[in-house]
Amino acid sequence: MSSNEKLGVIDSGTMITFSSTCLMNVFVNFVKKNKLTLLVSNDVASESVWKPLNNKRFALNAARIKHLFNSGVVKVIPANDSDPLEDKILSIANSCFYSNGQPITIIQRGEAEALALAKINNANILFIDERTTRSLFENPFRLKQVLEKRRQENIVLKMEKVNLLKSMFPDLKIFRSVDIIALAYEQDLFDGEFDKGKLELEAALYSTKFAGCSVSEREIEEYLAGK
Amino acid sequence: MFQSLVYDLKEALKLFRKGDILQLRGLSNRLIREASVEDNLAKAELGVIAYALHKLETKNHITNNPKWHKIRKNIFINFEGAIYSINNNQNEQFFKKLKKIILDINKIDADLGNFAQGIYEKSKVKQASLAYSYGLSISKAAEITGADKKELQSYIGFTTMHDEENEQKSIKQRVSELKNVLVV
Repeated sequence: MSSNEKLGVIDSGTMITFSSTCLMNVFVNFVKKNKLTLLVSNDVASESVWKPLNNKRFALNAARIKHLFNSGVVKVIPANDSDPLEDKILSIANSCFYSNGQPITIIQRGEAEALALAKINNANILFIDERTTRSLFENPFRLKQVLEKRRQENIVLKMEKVNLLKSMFPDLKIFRSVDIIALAYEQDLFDGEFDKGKLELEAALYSTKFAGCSVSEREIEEYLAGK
Repeated sequence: MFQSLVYDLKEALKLFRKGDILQLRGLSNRLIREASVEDNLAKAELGVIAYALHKLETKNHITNNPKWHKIRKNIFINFEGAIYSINNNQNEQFFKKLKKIILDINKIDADLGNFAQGIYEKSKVKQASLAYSYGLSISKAAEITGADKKELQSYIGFTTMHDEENEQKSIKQRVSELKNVLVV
């Protein structure tokens, strides 16, 4: 990695968002323009490429992600180096919330693997589209509210565990595909794919939402109102 | 180990025998809620089965077909077999019985269904989205139900789930932060 490159980790969900919309070229332009080195673990690669390649319904999306790997836009890192750290992350994250005296297993090995990869490689950027991992770092109280509202029961939040987890990643910043698209628009990276216009921006932002990125309509409308 | 599932299996069998569609769906939702708290894969599988059975029971072109009556009987037998297996600590047999029920669901769906994607696969995604709504991550919700993560992510994108929650930061704030971390 050259000295002016930035290192980030990308979750399978974010790659799936780009591959299932027509925004893959915008994403590639974004990575190149910003000299980003993006990492994924071997297991994430397997989950987003090798397994779905055998499923006719998802093979084209998987082939698009495979191309990201083969063209070096995203680097696949063997996962076994980070196992003990993954276990530690899983153990802490899955003991942050309790229901009826039982810890709630909220995250799975895939998310822990992405975090471990960030830690091991000193990456301070994590691209992840799903809500739970992000909320754990940014707003665990919101996640507590979600859990309580949906489950209709009291949830105990162990802040000491959340703080312990956060202390492992003091500089980590988390972003979603919708944030990448918004910045890509500002950086004129829609060229060759779409015209630069509010309609195109709106369509692109909503397409990430409908592909499963955790963003609300209100957030998108607020952002568009300022454009 | 699976003793606590005996009650749920009996309940699922009773409601399925009665053709009580709404209660069967209610049972499925409860099982998924509990499975998501307990990280209980067997309970989640039973939850998905209950949902798929409820779905089959809503389709007249299936319930009016004589093939369904034969399959239903098989499913009754396999539910009873699953209960017997748990009561006799035969865990492997228990899972085999659940798999036989799933095979029956897939068989009737393949024979009489109208969609390329099967009812059981759809049920996994539907109930995984419920697990996600209970606070599990997408990967965790997919794992406990056996749903495909891509399908789940896409399904969730078309729900209002993400509209119901207040974000900590606006897109504008995140874009500003992203610019800052990308500045060399």
